[in-house]
Amino acid sequence: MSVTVAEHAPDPHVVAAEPEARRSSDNGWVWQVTLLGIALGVMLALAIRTTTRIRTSGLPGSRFGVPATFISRYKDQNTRLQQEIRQLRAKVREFEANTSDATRSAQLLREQLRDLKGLAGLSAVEGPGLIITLRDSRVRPVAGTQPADYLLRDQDDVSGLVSELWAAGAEAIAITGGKEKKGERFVVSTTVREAGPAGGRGVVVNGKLLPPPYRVQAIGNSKELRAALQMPDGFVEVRGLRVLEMIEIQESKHLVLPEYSSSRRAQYAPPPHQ
Amino acid sequence: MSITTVDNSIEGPPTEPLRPAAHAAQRSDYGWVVQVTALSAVLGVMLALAIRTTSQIENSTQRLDRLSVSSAFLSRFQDQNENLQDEIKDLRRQVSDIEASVQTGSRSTEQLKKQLQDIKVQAGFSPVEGPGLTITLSDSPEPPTTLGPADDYSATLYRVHDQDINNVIAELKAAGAQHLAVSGADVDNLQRVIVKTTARCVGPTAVVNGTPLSAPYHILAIGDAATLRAALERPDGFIHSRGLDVRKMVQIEDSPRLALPEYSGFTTKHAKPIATN
Repeated sequence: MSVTVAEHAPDPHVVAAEPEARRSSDNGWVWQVTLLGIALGVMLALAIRTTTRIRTSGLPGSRFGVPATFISRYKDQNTRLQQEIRQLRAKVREFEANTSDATRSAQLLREQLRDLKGLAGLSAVEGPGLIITLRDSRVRPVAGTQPADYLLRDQDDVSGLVSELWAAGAEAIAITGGKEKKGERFVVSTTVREAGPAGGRGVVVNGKLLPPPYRVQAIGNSKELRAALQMPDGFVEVRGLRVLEMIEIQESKHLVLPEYSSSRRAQYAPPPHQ
Repeated sequence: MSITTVDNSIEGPPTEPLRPAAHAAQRSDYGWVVQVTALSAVLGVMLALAIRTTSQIENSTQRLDRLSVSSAFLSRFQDQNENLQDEIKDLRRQVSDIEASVQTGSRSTEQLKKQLQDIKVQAGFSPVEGPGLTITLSDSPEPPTTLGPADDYSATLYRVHDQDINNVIAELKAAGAQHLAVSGADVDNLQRVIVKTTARCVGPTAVVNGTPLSAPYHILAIGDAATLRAALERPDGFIHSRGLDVRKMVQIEDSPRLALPEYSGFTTKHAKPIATN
């Protein structure tokens, strides 16, 4: 705008032909206002289109686009899957290269069994991870709160924590209760159940009664596991475990988790073939 | 903007020669008042629209601190994800076939092969078939209409959450279910339950084995149908105490023949087995 004004300023005809000058400057304004009007019209149209598009997008609820967390989740997941594929291909090649070597083939089978048992919780494993302690709160109660607010909800808190750890990428988990040293390893059939009125406080894991405080050991990337537990709106925050000092998280470079040792033998269905 | 411009034309001629012209122009400016008023009105409407849109986005349940991306971008990753899982299943079957075909002529190798097969089935690394139950969890078909926006807590009771899936799976395990798998609305995308499988809500989906699933959720359980059903329908069991039955959020069906796939996700990186045998 100021450019236009400056343009008129040095015009030598302005003083001499005053009415003409006025007319010509009027004409200039017509163009400017027209252009301005067009620009405004386009902007208005865009604004209206954006608004209606958001309203009619049909996305779930009032959601706008897809959160980027989804993409990063898929990205990480797909990268891990690609690694897994590379490992499996190497395994197939190794087996195929050794079909005629009986000793080597038998050794490969043993390695397969060892890895699978470690994965399934049927053999001891070692690695870095977290040690998490859950206990009743020792914080001085605040007026207006219930005594129960300061106690663990045994089943919900332990299974909630374990679920959070698995979701964050834990690879092996074991739990001990009270002063017990030896942990109960999680296998596919393991559940955390309330001991019930007859059993008193505590949870039953793999058929064994564990009293509080609970110590959960999880092998995995300790930074990622810790970040998941400290996530805003996550399980730990929502339950107020940190505020009430009911949770303690320790990183460990070397954890050793025992194998599943319950006498309760799982029955299993036969494989579909054979 | 436009106001500043008008001011310039009236009182801001920068050089001497324009001064008389400015006086003359002032009279004809009355016509401009209308135009500027009209422009201001248009601007006002646009501003109002912009503010409304922004506040709508802010009021939505989503936080603005999360970046948004298009769903087309997402579906590319979804497709890739499914392809990768298929390939993993394929490779695991190849490995299993090779394992079964290893011939060393020794009894110990035969035992090893048998043990490997059994643990694969038990741990979820082989497909299985058998009779059992199919449990469907969905959002309540009759959400309360009388609830105001302040009743957020009550409203969430009518929606399926990750903990509902996890608790039903725990009930089934405790009742002796042998093999389990979970799917979302896409029933072909079955995720086998292995030791580390859990459901975790991320936005409107539940992530199981790293794969986002959306409601309704189907839980397939191989085991004794009558025992499993009795455990689920216990008056002090999870389903009743959570009110899933009352709110019509759960459906339990006998399934004479269920086929569960093997686990198709990744395995371990940090946990190393300690050689014991």
